[in-house]
Amino acid sequence: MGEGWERVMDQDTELYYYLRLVREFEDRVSKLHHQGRIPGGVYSGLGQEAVVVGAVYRLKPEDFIFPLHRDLGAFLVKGVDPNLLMAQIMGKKTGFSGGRDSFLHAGVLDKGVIGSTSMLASSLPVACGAALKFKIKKEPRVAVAFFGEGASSRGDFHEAANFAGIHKLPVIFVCENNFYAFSTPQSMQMAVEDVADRAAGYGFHGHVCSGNDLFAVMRAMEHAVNQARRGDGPELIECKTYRYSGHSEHDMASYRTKEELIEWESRDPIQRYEFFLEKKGYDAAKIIAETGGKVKAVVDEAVKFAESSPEPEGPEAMTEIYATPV
Amino acid sequence: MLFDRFDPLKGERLEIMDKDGRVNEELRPDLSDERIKELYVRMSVMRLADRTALNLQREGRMGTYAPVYGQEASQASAAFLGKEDWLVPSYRESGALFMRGVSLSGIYRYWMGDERGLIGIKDLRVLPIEVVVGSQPLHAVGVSWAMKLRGIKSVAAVYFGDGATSEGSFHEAMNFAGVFNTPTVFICQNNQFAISVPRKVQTRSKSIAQKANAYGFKGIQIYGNDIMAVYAAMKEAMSDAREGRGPRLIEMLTYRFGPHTTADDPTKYRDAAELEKNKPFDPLIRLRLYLSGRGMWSEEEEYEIMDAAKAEVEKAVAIAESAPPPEPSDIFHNTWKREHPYLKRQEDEMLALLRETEGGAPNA
Repeated sequence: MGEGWERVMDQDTELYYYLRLVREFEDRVSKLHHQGRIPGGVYSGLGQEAVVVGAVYRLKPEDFIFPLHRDLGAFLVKGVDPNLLMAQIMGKKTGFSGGRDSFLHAGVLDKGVIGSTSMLASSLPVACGAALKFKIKKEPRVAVAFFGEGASSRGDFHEAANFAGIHKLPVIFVCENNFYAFSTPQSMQMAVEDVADRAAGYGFHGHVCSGNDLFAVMRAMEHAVNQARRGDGPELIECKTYRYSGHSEHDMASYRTKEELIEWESRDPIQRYEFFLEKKGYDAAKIIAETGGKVKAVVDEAVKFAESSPEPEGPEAMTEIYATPV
Repeated sequence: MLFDRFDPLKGERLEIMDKDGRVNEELRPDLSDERIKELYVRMSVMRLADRTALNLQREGRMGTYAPVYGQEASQASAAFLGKEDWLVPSYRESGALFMRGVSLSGIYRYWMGDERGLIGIKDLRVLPIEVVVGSQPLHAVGVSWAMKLRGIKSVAAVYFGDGATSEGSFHEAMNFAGVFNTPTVFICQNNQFAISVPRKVQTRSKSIAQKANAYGFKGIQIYGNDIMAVYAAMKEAMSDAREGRGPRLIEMLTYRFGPHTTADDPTKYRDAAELEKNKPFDPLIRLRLYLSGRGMWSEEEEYEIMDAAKAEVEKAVAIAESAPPPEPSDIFHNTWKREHPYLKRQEDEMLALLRETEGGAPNA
């Protein structure tokens, strides 16, 4: 980051645009899923927009991100074409995986987005692999890996974090702590209050911030990314946030109270940002209205593109899996 | 409380008896000199038995073996478990098994390739030796959780090395123990090497003990060559775990004087000078110096101790070697409680093959 960071304050409206775009996109995907227009599972990141925007916004094109199933927004902020993303989510032939899979099970290599699998935390060792390559080749690039607090109980997380620590890899572990691993509350998931506490076991720093505060996430990322690019090793950033929906669209989230949801909705990351715009003296009402129109048009267009895209025919399911076809 | 007093995050570690046998009186635990003497004698037998196993392997009389040479005081921690507690060993726990009361001949027989050698260990509340690095903590958490659910005040103490702490299974076990507050004592014998990988490239954290913080319970780093520190830490950890105050992690700093196993040559990755530097920290030397200062040890007595040890070890070797060799079928048994149809089919197939081939079973 370094230079460029100062520019952030001039880009207040762009940041707002991304927050709104992610929300509009997420919201539309959920609605389309309810209408039966999206096959497979949908895992909404509604409420967690500030984490993905804050973590990805200042990255360079050559940096890698490793989003998980709830990080649709990370794709958008990293510069992935919304049309193609929607086609991917709908399982269309024009999607990144050519219809072989749906939702976020695909990467966009030229944008530095590495796809995930359904096995949570399994992309963390892969991020370390990418970071090790950056280190060996002396490239000033970083790998940013996303995961939830539930994934931090998995052995993959432990092995990745330990390896990153020893080799001082340029990797940033971004934990989106939304307090529930599907239905398992954090208290049943770990005996510590902060996932960031785990970093001490690997000899690097763990930082806790509000995942609903865009600037808090960006500041934490600035520090971590600078450190990683300098070759001073990894960092764990824990962003406390909340998902408004259930784990997936088929989860009614009956394990949590309405009051808890309301409490978190009152800390909404986008409303918070709108308050910031207003306080800073912008014509907030105008920006809000204009941005709303803009993002709606982008998502409308994406849906139109995706829905008019062809379905996969079938036989291509067998191709592009192994470099040399079996 | 030692676990609160010695904070691994501050680089603190517990030592009570130093390498010259001098005791920090303020920390002296309630171990009588008689008990210390007895421990010294058992550790001496352990050392001889260990060296004998290595020699047996070199003579082709044993399959493979993982020596405990240098780690005797850490291994002696097994003497501080209660009868009702469980011991979950990895493969380098011959000394711990011995201290628990497993027969030497049985241990030898096991390493000679006859699993029946350890068949009776269930009565001693010892789990079978599990070789997969890092797997043992999971088993210990399972056992101790079962004890907790049944309302039995019984602790599972599990042994593993510094290398095992990098395994995902270690993390999952520690996390589970923290969340469910299981009566588990995690004993990491940090002998500085995971085969050839030195501790400093194993993990970037300054201690292994501090990893406990990541799971919401307490860890302590101690000098594992100091039997008093081992006793004091074990006593507190076992009692904390038993009374539901939470699992505990004890990192025992020690040094493996010998090879990883009989299939390893440590001279390829370790300086002779480094080994020599560590020799004065031998867990037995300091005990000798301590006991001698209390008028409880002399050169002459050492000969008597060694003679008795030699007789005990030779007897164990004789028993192990005179045991009838295992039947080929044995590899199919002692794993499942009930007969498993697929295994039965494989066993029948193997027996038919042996009947067909001249001479029958290889050992017959």
